[in-house]
Amino acid sequence: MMLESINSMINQVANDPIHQFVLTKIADFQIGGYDVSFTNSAAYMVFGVVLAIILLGIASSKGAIIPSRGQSVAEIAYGFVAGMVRDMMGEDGMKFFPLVFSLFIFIFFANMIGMFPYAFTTTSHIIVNMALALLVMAVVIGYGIWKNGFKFFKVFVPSGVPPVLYLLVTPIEIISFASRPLSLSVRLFANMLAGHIMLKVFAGFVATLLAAGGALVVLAPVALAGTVAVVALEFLVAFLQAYVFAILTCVYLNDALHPGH
Amino acid sequence: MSNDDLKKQIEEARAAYTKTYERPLKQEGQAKGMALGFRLATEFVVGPLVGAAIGWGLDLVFQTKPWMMIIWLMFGFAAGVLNVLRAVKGLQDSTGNGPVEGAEEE
Repeated sequence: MMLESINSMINQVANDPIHQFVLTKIADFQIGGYDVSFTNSAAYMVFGVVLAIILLGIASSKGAIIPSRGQSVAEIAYGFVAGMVRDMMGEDGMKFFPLVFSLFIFIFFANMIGMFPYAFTTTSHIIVNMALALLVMAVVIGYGIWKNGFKFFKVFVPSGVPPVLYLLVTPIEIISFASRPLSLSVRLFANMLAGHIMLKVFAGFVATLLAAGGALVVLAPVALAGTVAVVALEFLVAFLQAYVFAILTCVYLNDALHPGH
Repeated sequence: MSNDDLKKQIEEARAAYTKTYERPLKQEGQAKGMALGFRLATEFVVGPLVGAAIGWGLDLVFQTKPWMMIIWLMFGFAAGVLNVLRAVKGLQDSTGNGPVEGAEEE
């Protein structure tokens, strides 16, 4: 009897650690033959943005001199990102603050919402991160060319190298530059995907060990403790990945601001 | 107030200061370290990937299968190593734009 109920539980919860990433259509849309349906991923993105706007809106609505708890959290978030932007790009980098802050908050909220059971993690799909990374690269290239003109392309031709070596150095620099959006998006995607799969598999062990019966049942609490530890780790990773994405955005934007140093 | 009392008070204030200010600093350092770790893990891998992709594309365009891919894969390895070196040099000047080592004079 108990075995049966546990088995059905396993079937519901742990049989497929990938299932949590499946996209489902909420509303069907087609524009010019392209499928632009509103999916659960899009819904969670909207949810994250709306939640961020509401929370930050409430936190900053009073503007009290002695901040309330919510206001201090918002101020800390602002100070954290502003400090990062100033450290990386200097005072003139503050014109990119809205971009960096929006990216940081968007990714942070998406990651944190993903930590709720049954929630969908938008950042676990590489296409979402790729769009964000390409946005950053578009700003870097666009602003770099607008500000520095043709000199921006000195990125690919470092000065002080013997002319023959340009045959080697230029392709390497091009690859190094082109690999940035990929490394930005792959890192975030891989960490969120791997983390959530690991979480599910670990949690699955608990049910599987209980169902296995006999001496193996003793091991179930160990797996449970492991799951709890992994949850804590995932919260850290959720924050760290948003932080890494934001800080690398600053590093790359710094190129557009001050090319060639 | 005797000298000893004052000394004791200073010690206590110092301990309180360290407790409140140095722990967060250390935690921040750890977060930065982990962030760098996450960076390094992907920074190298993407070099060869992008190199191979560029080479593959050039092969398609110029009908030179498989030579471009082989050559650009090697460039990709070099770019991966360069990415890692720049990341290690410090988050600030790890921009892909930084001049290659020893080429600072303009």
